[in-house]
Amino acid sequence: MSIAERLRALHEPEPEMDLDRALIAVRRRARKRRQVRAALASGVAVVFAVVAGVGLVSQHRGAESQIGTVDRTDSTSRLDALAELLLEDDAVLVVVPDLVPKDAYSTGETYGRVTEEELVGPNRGAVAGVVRQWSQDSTTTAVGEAFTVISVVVEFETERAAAEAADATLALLPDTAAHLGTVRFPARLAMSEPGSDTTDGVGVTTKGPVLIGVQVGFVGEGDPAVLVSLIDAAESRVRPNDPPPRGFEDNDPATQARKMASELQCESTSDGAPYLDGAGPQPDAALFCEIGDADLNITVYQSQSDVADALAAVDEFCGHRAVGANWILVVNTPESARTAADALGGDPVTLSGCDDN
Amino acid sequence: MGGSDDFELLFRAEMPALVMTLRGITGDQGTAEEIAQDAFAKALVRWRRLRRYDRPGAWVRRVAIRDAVRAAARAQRSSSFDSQIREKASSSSALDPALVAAIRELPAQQRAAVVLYYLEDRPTAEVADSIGCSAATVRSHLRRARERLAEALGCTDDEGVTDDVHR
Repeated sequence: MSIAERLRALHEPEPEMDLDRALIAVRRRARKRRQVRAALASGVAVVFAVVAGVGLVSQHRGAESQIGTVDRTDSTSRLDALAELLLEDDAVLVVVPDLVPKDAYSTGETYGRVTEEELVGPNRGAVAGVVRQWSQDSTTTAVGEAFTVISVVVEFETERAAAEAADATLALLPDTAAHLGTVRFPARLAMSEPGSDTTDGVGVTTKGPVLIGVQVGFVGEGDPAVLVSLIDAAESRVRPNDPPPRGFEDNDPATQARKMASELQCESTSDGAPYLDGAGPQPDAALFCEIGDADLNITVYQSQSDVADALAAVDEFCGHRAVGANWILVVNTPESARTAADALGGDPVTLSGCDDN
Repeated sequence: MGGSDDFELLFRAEMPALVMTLRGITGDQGTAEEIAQDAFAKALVRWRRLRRYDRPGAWVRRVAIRDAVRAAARAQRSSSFDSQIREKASSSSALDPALVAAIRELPAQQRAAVVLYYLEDRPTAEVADSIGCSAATVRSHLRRARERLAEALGCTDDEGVTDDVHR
């Protein structure tokens, strides 16, 4: 009997499982994941650090913050957590210094791709670009040196945004040099695809609106630290040139709510007002809006004073809103509030109850 | 039917088979259940979107298999892995324990390719999609796996993988 025939004849027994208990475990894990995602979206780093044990430096809207601490002995789990982060969220990242000790890669691994459908989410408008691909791999040169290749591919809305992000990435190279010991590319690399260059160093290149960032950590003396650079610095410089849509208030309330939902690119909408906001004046129109995993709520009021009353009615709670002349958008995070306010021509508002937290 | 009901139906329908696949890749029932639960948790977090897919189970399966391959690769790099697989292989209830033991010593990607292609009758294109490589790489994994298994079992490898449906 050939190997193939013996393989086909193999029959492993069906596993005996308590599906009810397993389902409870799944729901518990899902809750924890939602907490992590919410914490990341709102910039609360502690939860992520506790759950994932990962040290990251996030660079978002120009503000740099240290997340957690780096445990140098467990690089694999840190990489996993990072990859998970990149795949699950719409990329708010990232600078990751000093991430991978030299023994982290003995085989090539690819962490996967973010599909088009996974790119729609509450943070999408809040970042300059979205991660299309994140991968790590290893390769060996003709002289037997092993290299680790980290690459990211980020797509921006405009070519200009990608170019500015590339410039911002290169601006980080002095920091990178401190980790790598050498940087061979003071200017943009000409690379056809991520991972195509196996020289040690860091580089970025752009192809239209796509930025490709590659870092190659050589396996030699010391730690071939890894830097994955993904920059959202372009956002603040590009967005002001895009005229924000306004004039929703010129329509009847229901039409206004629908147009606002359209502007927000809601994947689905349904009539209804949020529970808490029901404590204030009744809106003239209210829509639930679903974008990815985020539930937003658009409420249109008769007047600006109704808007003020509606906000006052819920101000004791912690929550986030984008607020316009006659409308309120209920969102989950301050970041989403800023993004929505930019998109709709309003102002981000954090309710006073958050001050107590 | 609500989204939660949809999810539970999918979970109950797919979980046992998924765990069996992952057990083949990781060589361990507990690890397989952990990875499967994690994949379903990921699916539940984004269920509003996934439920609109034609085959949301395929999404879960792909995520889980890739996680399993990574877990298996990590386990193989650990010093205690050899003794673990020998212990598990010796207690296997499979009909061909020597072959099962040899499979568990294959590199993770080769092992995943063997499990999906031979034990589960998946076409090479689906195997490639599941483990994140090209169909050509899958065929290469299968060929090398058969060679290693033949060497380990002291017999010859006399079959290639020539098309997507091998039976």
